[in-house]
Amino acid sequence: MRYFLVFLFIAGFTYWGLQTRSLTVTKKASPQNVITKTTIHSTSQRGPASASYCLLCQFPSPDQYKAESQNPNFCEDLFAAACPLDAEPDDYAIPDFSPHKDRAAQAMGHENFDEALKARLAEAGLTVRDDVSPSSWQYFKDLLQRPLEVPAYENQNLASDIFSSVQSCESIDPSTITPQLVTTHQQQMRRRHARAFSQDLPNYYDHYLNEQCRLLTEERILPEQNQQLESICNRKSEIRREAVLLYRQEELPGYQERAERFIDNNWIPPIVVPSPPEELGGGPPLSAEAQAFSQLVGSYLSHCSYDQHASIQAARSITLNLNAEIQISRPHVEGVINEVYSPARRQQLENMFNILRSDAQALVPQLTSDRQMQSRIITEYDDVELFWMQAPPDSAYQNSGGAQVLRSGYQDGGIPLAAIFNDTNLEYFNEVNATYRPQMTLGGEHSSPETVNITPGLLNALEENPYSLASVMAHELGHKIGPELSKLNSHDLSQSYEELLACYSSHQSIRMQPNQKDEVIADFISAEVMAAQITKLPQDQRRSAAVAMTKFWCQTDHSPLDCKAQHPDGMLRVNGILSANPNMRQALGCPAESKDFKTCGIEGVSLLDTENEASLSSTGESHPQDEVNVRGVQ
Amino acid sequence: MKTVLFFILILFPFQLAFAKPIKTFDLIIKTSEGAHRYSLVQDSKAKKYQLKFITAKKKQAKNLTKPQAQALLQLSSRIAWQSLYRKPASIKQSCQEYARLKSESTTTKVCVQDAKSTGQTYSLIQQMHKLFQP
Repeated sequence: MRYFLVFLFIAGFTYWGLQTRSLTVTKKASPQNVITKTTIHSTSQRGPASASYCLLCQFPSPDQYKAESQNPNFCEDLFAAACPLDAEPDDYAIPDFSPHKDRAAQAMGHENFDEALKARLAEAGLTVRDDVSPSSWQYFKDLLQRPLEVPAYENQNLASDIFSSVQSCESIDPSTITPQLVTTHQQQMRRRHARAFSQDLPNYYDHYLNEQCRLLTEERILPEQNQQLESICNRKSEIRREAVLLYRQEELPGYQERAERFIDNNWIPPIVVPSPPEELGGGPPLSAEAQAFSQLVGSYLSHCSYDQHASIQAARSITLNLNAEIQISRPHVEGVINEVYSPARRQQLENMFNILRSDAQALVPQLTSDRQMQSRIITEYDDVELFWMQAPPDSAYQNSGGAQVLRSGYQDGGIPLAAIFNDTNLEYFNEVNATYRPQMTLGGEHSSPETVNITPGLLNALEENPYSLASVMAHELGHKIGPELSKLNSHDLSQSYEELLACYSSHQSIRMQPNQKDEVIADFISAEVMAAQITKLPQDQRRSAAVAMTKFWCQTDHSPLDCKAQHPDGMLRVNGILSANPNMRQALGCPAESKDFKTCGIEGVSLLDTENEASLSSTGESHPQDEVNVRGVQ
Repeated sequence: MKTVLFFILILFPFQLAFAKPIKTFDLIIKTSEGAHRYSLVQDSKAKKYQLKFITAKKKQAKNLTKPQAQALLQLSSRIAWQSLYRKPASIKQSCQEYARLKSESTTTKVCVQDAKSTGQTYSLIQQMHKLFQP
């Protein structure tokens, strides 16, 4: 009994740790995998699949990779042939979701998103110029939504270039500045700042007020120099409390007016700190008149420049707020999901999935001689589903200001859709990743099915590089029969891989680390499946197809020295597993032994149709694409 | 007039009150590879902003422009306030931590259950992460 409990404890931990296996890619992989590692149920439709069906023949010929395939070192260093150092990464197009934003804006009564944004900005006193150029407007929107990625605006007057209500600081002739002009300007600014900061109370308190008060605490100005500032800073905690109360009412009627009054009551003009004498660099002393004039102009210019920045920050808050409203609204959510997870894509992906799954099933009898186990695994494979995101049901939405928006916290089978659509840049839909998740059973109840999830960024590869996508999908399907995950799936195949894993662990191979077993075996399964598919292509396309397939792995970023990573380095995966696979070498017409990496495989495991291959090679005919020959599935 | 302008430029080297040293931004997120930390620090003498990305395996730093640093602080404050003061009341009972965030004087724990804050934090992390990609 004691041993049984210990076993249960260990099994529980193993299950927890291995419940999701994912590929990791440099390009758009998130630093945290919280969202990407969740997978939800799908309603995959199954069609007839055939282990001998030529999957790759359906796609455009990989001739664009002809040059790489003719690299003299192709058989020894496929990674270098496919991933030259000076090559651009194989970026997949990022879909443009702006038409869905426009539709959502239309549902809110605007012509499109841009017009909705302009209306919101105008309400806050930031009227967009009629003559703003499309490129400036686009830059402005990018700057507001992705401020860290967009290059700095070269001209300091961005706000006045965009808004007719903001003054350009450079257009002022200093000789025309008078004390009256400065006073008038300050009064105008005070009103405008109240409007701007009312859009972003966190920024007002955390940065504007705190930074002004820091001038006092750091003794950069003395209290007697600015009694107004001292009085405000002495009430900071009270002001914060009031700001928080107001902030909680942001979406309620009358908020704008109350917030503007609050900012105005606690107004401190931007303070100009005179430079210390050592920074002035000497020079002749100024007359009293010149000093007074200099201070006047300096004060005016500082205020003007500050006005530019405050306007941009207010505009950012307005844009982010509008974006958040639009992105969680029903027309946008449904538009994005229907575009990324379109019926046409689904049909193609499921066809690919079914064929690759059939190939993986065909490997099972070669991996174990236990008939019962064979039958069980093959049957269970039929239940593995391809995750396909569905538009949320009516119950996922709630009314907000006349619009239907996703309920806060809405999740669908583990994927936090509400969070995904609250992300300004919808990064989830650019994510290049894939996961396999075993069936999750909690409390004896079936809770979620076994799934393979290809994330949206990788789905884009269907149109651009389906060869890569197929190899990734085969890898994920391979996880089901991996050494550790097969135990989790109640059919221990670890013994079948013992010799193979010893081969991969050796110094002549990739020096696999113990924690990499499942990923390495998934790569091995992918190599076997893809070798079989490649042999169905005409001879002159096979190496190009291998290059196309490898392109995905060029982007993996693990260091060869990083032995803690779950995935081996991309080069090792390509040259040490894929290209050193005996069946893949045969499919590609490479010598049986690789020069740099020991060839590792399992004797008797092969999906290559050697008889068919031999007859076709001798006759030079193209391969049949519709022949049904399901091997080992039953 | 030129002389006057010259002195103006020397006397008032365009010091904006809100652009004073910024020292406090810190975001920690737990991942399968251990904690990832992003910190913004400013060299007050050189008036340069540097974003640091620290994991168990490596430390990287990237210089930011002033508008970038200001935008980062603005975004992080919005998230912090959103997470502290606007999250659904039910979250306190079961907060699954997504990230810890400190912006200026405001410190918060972003909960997975708070979809809005999580989505905005994810967006911010992605933007910062892209800065460190080759």
